[in-house]
Amino acid sequence: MSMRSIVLGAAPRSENARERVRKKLVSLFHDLQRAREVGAVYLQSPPGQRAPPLVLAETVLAETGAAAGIEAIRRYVVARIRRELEEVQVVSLDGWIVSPTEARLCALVAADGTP
Amino acid sequence: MFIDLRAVPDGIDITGDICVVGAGAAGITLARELDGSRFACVLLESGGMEFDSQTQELYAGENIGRPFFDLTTCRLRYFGGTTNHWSGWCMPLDSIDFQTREGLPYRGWPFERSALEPWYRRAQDICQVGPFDYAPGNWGMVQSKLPTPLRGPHFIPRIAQLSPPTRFGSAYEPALKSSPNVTVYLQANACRFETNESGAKVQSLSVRTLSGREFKVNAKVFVLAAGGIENARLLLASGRTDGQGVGDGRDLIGRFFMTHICCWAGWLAVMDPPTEFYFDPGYFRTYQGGSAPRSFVPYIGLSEETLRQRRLPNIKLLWKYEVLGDTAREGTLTDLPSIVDEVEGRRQYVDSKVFRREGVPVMGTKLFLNLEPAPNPDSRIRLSRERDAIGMRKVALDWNVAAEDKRNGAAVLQLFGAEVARTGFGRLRSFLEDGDDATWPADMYGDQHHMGTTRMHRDPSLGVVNADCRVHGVTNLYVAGSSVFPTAGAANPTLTITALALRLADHLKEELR
Repeated sequence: MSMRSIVLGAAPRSENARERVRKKLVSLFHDLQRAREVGAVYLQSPPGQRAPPLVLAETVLAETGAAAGIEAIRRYVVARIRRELEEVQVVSLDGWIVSPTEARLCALVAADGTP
Repeated sequence: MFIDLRAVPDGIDITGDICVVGAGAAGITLARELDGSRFACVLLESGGMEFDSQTQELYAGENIGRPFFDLTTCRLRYFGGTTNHWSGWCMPLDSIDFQTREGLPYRGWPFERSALEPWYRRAQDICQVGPFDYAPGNWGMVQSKLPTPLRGPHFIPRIAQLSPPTRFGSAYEPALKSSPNVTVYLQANACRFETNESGAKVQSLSVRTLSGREFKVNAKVFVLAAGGIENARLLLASGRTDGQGVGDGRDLIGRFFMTHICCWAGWLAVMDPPTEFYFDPGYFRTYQGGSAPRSFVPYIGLSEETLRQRRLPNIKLLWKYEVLGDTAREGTLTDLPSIVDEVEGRRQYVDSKVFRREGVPVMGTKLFLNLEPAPNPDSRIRLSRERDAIGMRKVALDWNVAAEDKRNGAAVLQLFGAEVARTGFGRLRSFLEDGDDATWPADMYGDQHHMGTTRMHRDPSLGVVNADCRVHGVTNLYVAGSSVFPTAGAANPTLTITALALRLADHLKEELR
């Protein structure tokens, strides 16, 4: 097998894993409409003040692994949010003070999976 | 003894050892302290014993900077001065307020708070409040009863003691009336200090009545105690050249005008029920744990460590609970608190509170910020071209806030927002969203604490008065009151004004001995 086919073959697997994590992250919400509204505000922030929505899925995938279940992902996200708040890493969404992870989580829902 | 100057024949000079200009908190405290001493004290009051609109109109001036109170409404010009409408909040400045601050220019006093504490303790009695004790725990505010964001490390509970409030005029009139050595002259408007050729010594003070009489006051020592704005006005009006006042070789008099910056700064969606300490500006409590009930009001402050580490100004935060049905929750993200709680599995609680209306019927709180202003040389008192009824140039107030004020306010709210979220108490929507944007909420205002216009500093290039409150370069002219504050802190100023006046009285007694 050539190197080219390995790389081409790896990409879909990674995307699939990322998509699975994205779905798990979105499933943390009971009411997607609310999250979508918050995420839409984040996505309207100036480019320098926001990250692409899928960055969070990539990060969670790298930190928890592709096999992580929904509860493991919830624990990771909650811990990450708490750490950001402790360190006063916050962003402002229409004045509301939230952690970047909270904002990106909602942005994932708002972006509906589109990178 | 009290004398209405309008009844005194023209041409008579008034003579004393110490002449105090202004009978408000500072002037009356000084006179009380000098009562019974061997010094003849002359206390001059512009007004009479009651409010009089013609005298009050002498306060009229222009606001040429940011919008500010009408200058005839934010202070009072009769015996007792502005204590006649004082709300009575008493608290000392914090230790950190007296210190120079890294990254925060122009801050610091020429002495530590500990140096002022003996007079703070005595000021408590004069302001008719309890012992010099501001530790929240000693007022029943124990950790377990506090809302979670106030259990540290950043935000902490604070208390202000509540004076009845003391109306210095009516409270101390009897003592001054019977004083053997203090003479109070009513209707006596100080107009101009006359100095010797070099300007190093005040020789006399010109005084006029609204009825047109003119007098001269001769004294060994003069103390200007006319208020945070009028102190600068009279010094500027006494200068030999336009814009330069007595003792003002460096264009400092009138600069650094400070007032606490106030606004409703945010809305807090509350997830936890309120505790028994409401932190509401109108919510006064009585502590029953001591020998006698004592009135106080709780408020929220920043810990000294956080002030220092994050280079923040001092604050007073208060909040006002709003019940279900109010319409304070506005904007596109009104459901944000429940969204983030879902992530942490708290949806059920939110549902029970918001939709089934269980538990305490509180939706949230409006957050009130009272922010220490940055000392700003461009915020200043000038003299207007217009003259008042006794021929004095009126005041032109050019109140400015610095860019760092907005940045600091936004940073405080970001920190508070992070803390209420971290502790699960709720979610904050800040009305000071962008620290780099110079705009403020429409309801932002400067309060009625006028400070800094004759600021205290050891270095004459940075202050009008020295650590003894004596005007630099003038041997016998002193200033009392909040105009000497080089740093405002977040404390209401009356207790500090009173403590400084007591300290000055002790200094003068020693100086004239």
